[in-house]
Amino acid sequence: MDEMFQDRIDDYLHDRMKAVDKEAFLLEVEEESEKKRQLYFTQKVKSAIRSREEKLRILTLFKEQYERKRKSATMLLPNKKKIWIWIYGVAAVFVVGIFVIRPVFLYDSPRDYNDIPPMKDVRGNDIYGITFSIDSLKNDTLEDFQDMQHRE
Amino acid sequence: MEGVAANNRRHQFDLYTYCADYFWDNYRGMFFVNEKDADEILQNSFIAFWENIERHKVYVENGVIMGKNKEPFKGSITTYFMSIAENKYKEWVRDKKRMKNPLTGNIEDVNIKEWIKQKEDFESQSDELDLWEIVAECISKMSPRCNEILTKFYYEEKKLDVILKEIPAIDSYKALKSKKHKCMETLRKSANEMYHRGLCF
Repeated sequence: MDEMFQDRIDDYLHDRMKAVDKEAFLLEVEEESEKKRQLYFTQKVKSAIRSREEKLRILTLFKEQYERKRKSATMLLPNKKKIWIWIYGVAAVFVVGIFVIRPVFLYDSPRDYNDIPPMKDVRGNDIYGITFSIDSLKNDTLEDFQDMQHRE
Repeated sequence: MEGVAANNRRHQFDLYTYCADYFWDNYRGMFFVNEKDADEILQNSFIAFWENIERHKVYVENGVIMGKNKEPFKGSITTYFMSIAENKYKEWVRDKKRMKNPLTGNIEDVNIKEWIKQKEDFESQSDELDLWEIVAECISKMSPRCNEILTKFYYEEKKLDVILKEIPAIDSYKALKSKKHKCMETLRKSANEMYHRGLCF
C-alpha cells in the first residue's frame, strides 16, 4: 500500500483537493489499476466505518430508550408478581398445613378406653374373636400347669 | 422493514425493540455469555441486520419479506435475526480464544474457511459475500486503538494533527500517521485475504 498515495486518496475523499489536483488524481487512478484498487478499498473502509458509527450512535439512544421502556414495564410487574406470590404462599401454607395437621388427626382419633375389658378378663374372652372359657385362664398359669403335672 | 430502509427512526426503534425483546428472552438458552457480552453481541447483530436491510439484502415486496435470490423468507424475522446473533456469538467465542495471544488488531489468524462457512450457514437468507461486508466485518474486529484513529479520521473527518491532540498516548504526528497506515494495511490484508479465499469456496 503506497503511503504517499494514500494521503492523496484521503485528501480526495475528504474533499481537500484543489480542482486541478483532483483531475490529475482521477486520471492517475484510471491509468493504474493498483491505485484504483487502493482508492476503491479506502472508499469501502470509509463507507463501512461511517455506516457502523452512525448506527452505533443511534443504537446508544435506542438502548437508553429501550432500557426506560423495559424498566417501566417491570415497574408494572410487581403488582402482578405480588398477587402471584400471595397465591403461591397461601397454597404452600395450605399444602404444608395438610401434612402437619393430618397426623394429629390420626393420633387423636377418639377412643373409649372404658369399653375395653380389664386385662384379667381379656384372655379367654371373645374380644379377639376367639372364645375360651374363663376357667382356662386358671389353667394357663404356670402354677396350675405344675399342679396338673404333679397330679398326673 | 420498509421504514427501517427509509431511515425512519421510529420504525428502526420498533425493529430494535422487537429484536432485543426476543434476544433477551432467549439468549440464555443459546449463548453462554454474561450480560455485558450478550449486549455486545446484540449490538453487532442488530447493526449487521440493519445494514442488510439498508443494502437491500432483505426487503419487503407486496407485504412479503424477501431474502436470498429474491425469494420469500423461509423463517420469521426473529429467526433470521437470531441466526445473525448466533454467527456473531461464534465469532465472539473464536475471538475470545484468540485473546490468549496479544491483540494487535491482526485478524490473519482467523479461520477464514470457517468464517465463510458460518456466513453461508447462518445468513442463508443473504446474498453472496462482497467486499463491503468483509470490510465491515474486519472493522468490527479492529483493535480499539485502530478503531479510534480510523473513526476519527474517516467518520469525523478530523485532520491528523487534531486527532493527535485527542490521543495523548501517541506522542508525535509521525507516530500517529504511521499507526494509521499500519491499521489500514492490516485491514486491507485481512479483508483481501477473506475476500479472495471466500471466492474460492
